[in-house]
Amino acid sequence: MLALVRFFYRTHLIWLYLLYMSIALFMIGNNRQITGFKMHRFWMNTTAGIRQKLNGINQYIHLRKENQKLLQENQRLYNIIYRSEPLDNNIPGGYRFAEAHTVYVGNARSDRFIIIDKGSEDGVKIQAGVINPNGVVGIVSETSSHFSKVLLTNNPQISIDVKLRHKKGYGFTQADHIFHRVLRVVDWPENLKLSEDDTLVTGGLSLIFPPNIPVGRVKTIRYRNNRTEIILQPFVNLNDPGFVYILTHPLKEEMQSLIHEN
Amino acid sequence: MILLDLVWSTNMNVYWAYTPHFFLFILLFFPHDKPGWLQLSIGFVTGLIADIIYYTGGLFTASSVTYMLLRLVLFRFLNKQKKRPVGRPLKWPVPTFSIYLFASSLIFESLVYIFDQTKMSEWIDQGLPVLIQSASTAFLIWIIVILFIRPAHGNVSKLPSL
Repeated sequence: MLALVRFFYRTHLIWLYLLYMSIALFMIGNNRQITGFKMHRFWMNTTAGIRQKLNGINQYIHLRKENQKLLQENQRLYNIIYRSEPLDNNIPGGYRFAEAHTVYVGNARSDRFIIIDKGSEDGVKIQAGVINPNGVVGIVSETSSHFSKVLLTNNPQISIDVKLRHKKGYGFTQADHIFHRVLRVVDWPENLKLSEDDTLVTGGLSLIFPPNIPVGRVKTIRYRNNRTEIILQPFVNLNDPGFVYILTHPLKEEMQSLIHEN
Repeated sequence: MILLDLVWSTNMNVYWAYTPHFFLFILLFFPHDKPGWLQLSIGFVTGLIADIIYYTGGLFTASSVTYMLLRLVLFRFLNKQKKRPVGRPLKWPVPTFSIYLFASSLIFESLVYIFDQTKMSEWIDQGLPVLIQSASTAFLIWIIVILFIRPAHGNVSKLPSL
């Protein structure tokens, strides 16, 4: 308290000046119309600017909550879309979507994967598909109670069926051993002509991914030794997929049991 | 001085537009070794009365208070530089006194224009009127001081306490 009093005593001239100037400016603002208008406008602009900054800071602080709300909203919408949209192969029922976050990215050349923060306790099963708003991310290979390992599309152990939208005919993706940011497409039907910048989507042959989820864009097509080499640029940033959605289909186990029986 | 302002200078016009402000005399020659709060308060009161006379709605109050603050800072700086109290302006040599008078008038009138226009670009456009206004004020005060207050031969003993 004493320090405050001493501070005011030492700076009493400044405070006195500010007091007199406030009175004078108040008189100017009241009595002179043009100057008063300018002062009013300056004050309004200043307070609006300050409020805008404070709002920005407030929104930034609440971004985490906002992101979570948007993720859940997206999840709800995906569930609605994929329950109502008829599947190409008329499988009854629909895919279920659950949101998750990428917590680790593993970039070893022979084993490219991510770890997500949902595990078996959250209902994640092995061989569940994982996508993000840009496209296909990968397939769940291992789960623990609270985390899951997802092999990315450019992992040598993964192969995804792809096709051109609205056309029949399927190819399969493979990791490129030299350039790990692109994929190769193999077994593409010869009668289906592809050109650069075509978009390839999932075929829906397995129940891991529904059909028509974007996979990538055709980057180059080369003809070598009587074979067509198709290089695909994935839409997803495989170095950091960010927020993802885990897909599950209620009838997948039934289908897979038939496959294993045979 | 304020009465002189009220009676005389409100009826006096230079080029039909510029009125010299005699009350500036009080601000220019108020003893600078008095307490700072007293100098600011004198500036406030003088400006307030001038506003009432001229119906300027706070302009002279703001300008007078700001001018007194600047004057306070200037004299404290000068005292520190010279390491002794600087003498009062009326005891200075005529050239120094004239420069102080004109510069102070210019600063004061500029402040009036700044508080009136509130935009530097408009104030710069008004450069010539500011110069004429401050010159008219400074010149009239100079005449009064030289003729009535400073003796022609600079006899120090006859100088007033200002």
